[in-house]
Amino acid sequence: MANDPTGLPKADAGEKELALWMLERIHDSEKFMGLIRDARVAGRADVLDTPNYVALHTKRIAPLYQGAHEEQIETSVELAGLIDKLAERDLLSGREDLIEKALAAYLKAHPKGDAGLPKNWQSTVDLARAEIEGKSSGAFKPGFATELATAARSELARRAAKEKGRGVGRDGQ
Amino acid sequence: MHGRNDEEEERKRQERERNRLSPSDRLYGRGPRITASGFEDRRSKRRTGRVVPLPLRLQPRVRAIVDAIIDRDEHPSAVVFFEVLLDMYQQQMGAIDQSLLPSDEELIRRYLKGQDDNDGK
Repeated sequence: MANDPTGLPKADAGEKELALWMLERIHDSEKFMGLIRDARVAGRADVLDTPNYVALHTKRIAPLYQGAHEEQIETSVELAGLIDKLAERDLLSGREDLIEKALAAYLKAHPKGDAGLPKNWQSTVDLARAEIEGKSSGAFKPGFATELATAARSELARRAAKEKGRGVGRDGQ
Repeated sequence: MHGRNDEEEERKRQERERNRLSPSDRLYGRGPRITASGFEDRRSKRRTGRVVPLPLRLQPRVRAIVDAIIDRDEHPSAVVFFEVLLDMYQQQMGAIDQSLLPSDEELIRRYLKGQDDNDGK
């Protein structure tokens, strides 16, 4: 199971192992945000639907969708506001995440579908896994795997500190 | 410490300066130009303030698919394409309440703040 604490990698594990582990955490966060979103739509806000939780998970998801370079696209004033508002409403990690979901919606509705377009772009997590494992390259920003491995080390350090804090609390009783 | 205060003060001063300009002039950084012969340069009339640059950090694969769709489906511009894109998204995920959208003034303020933040890095 993805959240099984016994499945934690060691902090000094190789970059590939750490990056793959972090990718699974991101995937878990996306699934979790989906549950929160469904609960909101159904009018029954989840007990874990708090600003802190949402911020933690969206921040974790963002690197999957954000490239290294900032580019300016021209858009109407209304659309610029709409993009941010939709991302916020749908608990997405940012503009880039929304653009990717909107592309999927566009191709689903378009009569030509994805005919004539670069293939296999929709499954972000699978593609990211292939990039980390070295089976593909260039689909994500340079240093993508390294960034995920760094995030994994921070996550493991955060968990270790939390566990240590719990242990201290028990000893003190 | 002192430098940070100076920077904040300079940003406030620039904001006060901008507030005297129209929204489009605030976006594009200068007011209408008067030509050497004393007439208003009519090229400044082209600036409507309705098109703003939106910073995005797309992954290379997403950037490639955006370009490929614009070419394949012959969208006249990125502005039009993104409008269609968001329309499709809202058809499937539900339309947003228009009254929740920020005003033009607020959007321009955010854009300029982003520029200031980038300049300060």
